[in-house]
Amino acid sequence: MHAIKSPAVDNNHLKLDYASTHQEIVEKCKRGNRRAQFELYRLYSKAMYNLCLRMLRQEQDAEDLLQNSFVDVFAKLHTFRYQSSVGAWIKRIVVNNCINHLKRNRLQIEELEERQAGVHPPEPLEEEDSHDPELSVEAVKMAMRELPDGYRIVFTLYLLEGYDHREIGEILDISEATSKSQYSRAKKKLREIIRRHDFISRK
Amino acid sequence: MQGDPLEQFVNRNRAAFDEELPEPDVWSGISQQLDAQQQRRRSWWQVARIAASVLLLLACGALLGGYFMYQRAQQPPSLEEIAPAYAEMEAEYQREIDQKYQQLASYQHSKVVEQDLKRLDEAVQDLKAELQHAPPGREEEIVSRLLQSYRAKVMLLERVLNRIQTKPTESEKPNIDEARSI
Repeated sequence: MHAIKSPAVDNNHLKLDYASTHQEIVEKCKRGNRRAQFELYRLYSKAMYNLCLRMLRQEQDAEDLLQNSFVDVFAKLHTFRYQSSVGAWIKRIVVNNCINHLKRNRLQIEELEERQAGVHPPEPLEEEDSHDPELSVEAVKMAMRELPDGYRIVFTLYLLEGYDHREIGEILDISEATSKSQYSRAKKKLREIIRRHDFISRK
Repeated sequence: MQGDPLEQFVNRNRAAFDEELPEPDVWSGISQQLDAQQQRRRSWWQVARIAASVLLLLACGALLGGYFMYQRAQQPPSLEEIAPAYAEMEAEYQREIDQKYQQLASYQHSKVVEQDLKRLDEAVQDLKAELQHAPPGREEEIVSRLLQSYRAKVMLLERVLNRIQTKPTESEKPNIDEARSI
């Protein structure tokens, strides 16, 4: 009996612990404690900065957005009720701010999809050189920077930030199907870029 | 993740994608903005507190005003309202009484006279109170009794004054008799 029951209990406990991670710090932040605010920043700033960098590419933009997002986080924290982990909650604010920033610079996912599909028919490179290139973090990061905005965002949100297509659809105000097709095109495009870089460097 | 080598690679090396560090001045920027917000909130609080004080004062004023209005509404109506015809006569008697009192004030007072006067005043007050709750038919009778009391008071005062003026050195004794005889 004990052996059967305990895993469920443990699981439940872990789930609770997940949503209430850093609860003490969060509560202090809600009261405006500056040291707790710095602690929360210290815990999440690095991951959030790298997310901003992937989304916006420019370091200055990423830092500005990180700063404004954390100001937003502390301003809105009193509305946070532990339905999710505070990390996921912060990430959602940062992601939304990134999207808004890109939208202000005329990001059009749907349009982009059409344009990409039209301008780039199946790349000839793929057939010529179908072997998978040696993957490295640097190569992937560099290739991601070359991806058009729409592809890069969907790719980042899905593969690196762990959102599913339904959530990405919500965030970007597109359909789940669009998110899926954008993602597979982004992957294909990324492979092409990596292969091209690899090809150039081998030459 | 199934067969996709790119997805597998990224998932395996996920941590390596978060290696960049923001400049330390990002936090100072955040801290400064938070300070500015707190400042704004504090000054807002001050304004709010002043506004609250003003409101409280106004509320107190309104409450007090309302209380006094209520008090006045609760106060019994005056003689003018009940029997306006007799109000003038009352005023006349009152004037006469006041005048006599003033004259009397220059002489030594007799305790007994004072007591009698007081009793008459009490009778007047009682009659006035009765008048306010009187049934419509009895008003006239009460008013005439009221005026009788005034008349008695005036007479009493007149006699006292006469006595004092004719025999200024007399003691209080005759005064008592005078008072009692009314």
